[in-house]
Amino acid sequence: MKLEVKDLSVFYGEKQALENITTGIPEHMITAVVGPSGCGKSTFLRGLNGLLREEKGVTLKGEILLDGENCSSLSPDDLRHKIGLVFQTPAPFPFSIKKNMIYGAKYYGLRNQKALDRMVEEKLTQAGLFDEVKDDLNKNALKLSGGQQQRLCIARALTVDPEVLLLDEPCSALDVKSSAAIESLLLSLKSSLTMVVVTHNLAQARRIADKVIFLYNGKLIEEGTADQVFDSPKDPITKDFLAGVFG
Amino acid sequence: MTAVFVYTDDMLHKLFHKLNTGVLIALTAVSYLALAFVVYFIFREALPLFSQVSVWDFLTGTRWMPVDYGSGTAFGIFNFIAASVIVSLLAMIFASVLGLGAAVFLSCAASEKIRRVIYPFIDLLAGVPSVIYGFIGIVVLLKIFLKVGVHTGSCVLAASILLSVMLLPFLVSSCSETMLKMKEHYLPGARAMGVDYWYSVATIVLPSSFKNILLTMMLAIGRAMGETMAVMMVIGNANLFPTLLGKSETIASVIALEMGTAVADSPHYHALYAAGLVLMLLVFLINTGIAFLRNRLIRKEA
Repeated sequence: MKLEVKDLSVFYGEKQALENITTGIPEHMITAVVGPSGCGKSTFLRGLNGLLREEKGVTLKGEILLDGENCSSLSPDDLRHKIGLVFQTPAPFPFSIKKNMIYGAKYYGLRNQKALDRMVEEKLTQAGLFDEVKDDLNKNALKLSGGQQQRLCIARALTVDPEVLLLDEPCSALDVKSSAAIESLLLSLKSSLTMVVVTHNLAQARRIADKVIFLYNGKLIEEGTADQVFDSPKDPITKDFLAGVFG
Repeated sequence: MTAVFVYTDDMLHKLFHKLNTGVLIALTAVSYLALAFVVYFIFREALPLFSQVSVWDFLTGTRWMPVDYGSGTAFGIFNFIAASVIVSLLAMIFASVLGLGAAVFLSCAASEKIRRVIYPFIDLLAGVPSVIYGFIGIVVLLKIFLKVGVHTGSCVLAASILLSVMLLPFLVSSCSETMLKMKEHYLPGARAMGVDYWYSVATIVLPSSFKNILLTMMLAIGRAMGETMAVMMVIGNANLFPTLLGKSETIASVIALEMGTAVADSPHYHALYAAGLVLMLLVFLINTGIAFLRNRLIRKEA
């Protein structure tokens, strides 16, 4: 297991958002977190990269291990260097595509121009964006289409070589074609990366996920391989959810 | 029956629609007319002067002797123009340095709670009448300059400092709003890569707010140019070329000080109108410059 979550509970003030979640995120696989809105999917994700620890009025219990090492022993910045996050709404920096791509690497000390150029090409190629933008890398990133912007944001997250990439409903603001591009991108990244995708799109989870975690009301109801959870759910709540009784 | 009602309903809608558009056009026309009248009257009252003094002499002359005391009259407003421009520029620079610092603090360092307490104070600062600022200038600023050794304390620097305080609220609220928006939109992406908070503020929030800050600064100059009362109270009002610690006089203060004593239709009277015309054109020029710059920046972004 790349990430191990042990007895994770999260409280917003008095209100409990997650209850004793214990699960694992397998390495080089895509784990999908599904469940109805408000079930704690996003909270779970933001717990993984330590964003929650910085919010006021939030209490965290339990522990998260990255490669067997307790995450709370890492500084928040170091943790986020290793565990990247891509947001629901793509928000590239208001600079050129190239500047977006070298921002993180520069911060971590890569200054050599040739190395930077190589890195930009490599990561954009990984994100399946290079062929579309190679002729105008100096174009303002905000001029790209929504789907291209999201792929740029994924490429940007890759530039600092994270070990785990968290994606918070990465396709919910995109059209079908762009979503398909992102899905195949995620599948191609599996060889080098561990990913956790929050999604409310069950068909999407089924297409890309190796492991599925089903959350409901802050509790982990069921987990397993995609086939197990989708084809033969054990818990009645999971069955109802998959059947569309609620959502 | 219902068909008839629907018909009248529809008519009513159309009538209201027409009335609405008509009223809006009329209101717009009134505001444009007001502007047109202002421009017309200033031109009408200013132009007679130029049958006596050439435009060039008026703009570049440094002698201002509106009433003949034996040595003849002279109408040169070069020093006043220089004072208006320099005082406004200095005020804008002071205010920008201070205001940007405050804006960065408010948008990036202060918590939501502190912001909620401080914003109303900034708005309050904007509501203080300029004559009150002038008072404070006389009571506090001029005393300090007097102690330092400036004769009577009145000087260009005092006026710029006072004016900069008056520009602050506008600069701070406008810049911090922009920065806050940029921070909320762009910073999470940088933070998610583990980039240090203040590093990302310096490399993302500041550059992305730059255009707006520039526009705000230029708008501030436009406002500063027209400010009369507070400046008049601390600048000393002497027809001298503006130097930091010397007295001077801005276009606005000449007009305010002398309009009451100028004989109607005398050259003096027309000269004051002409000075007003110059001030108006200066501000107009600056505003056009801003509009031009904004259009270019926006086009570059789109």
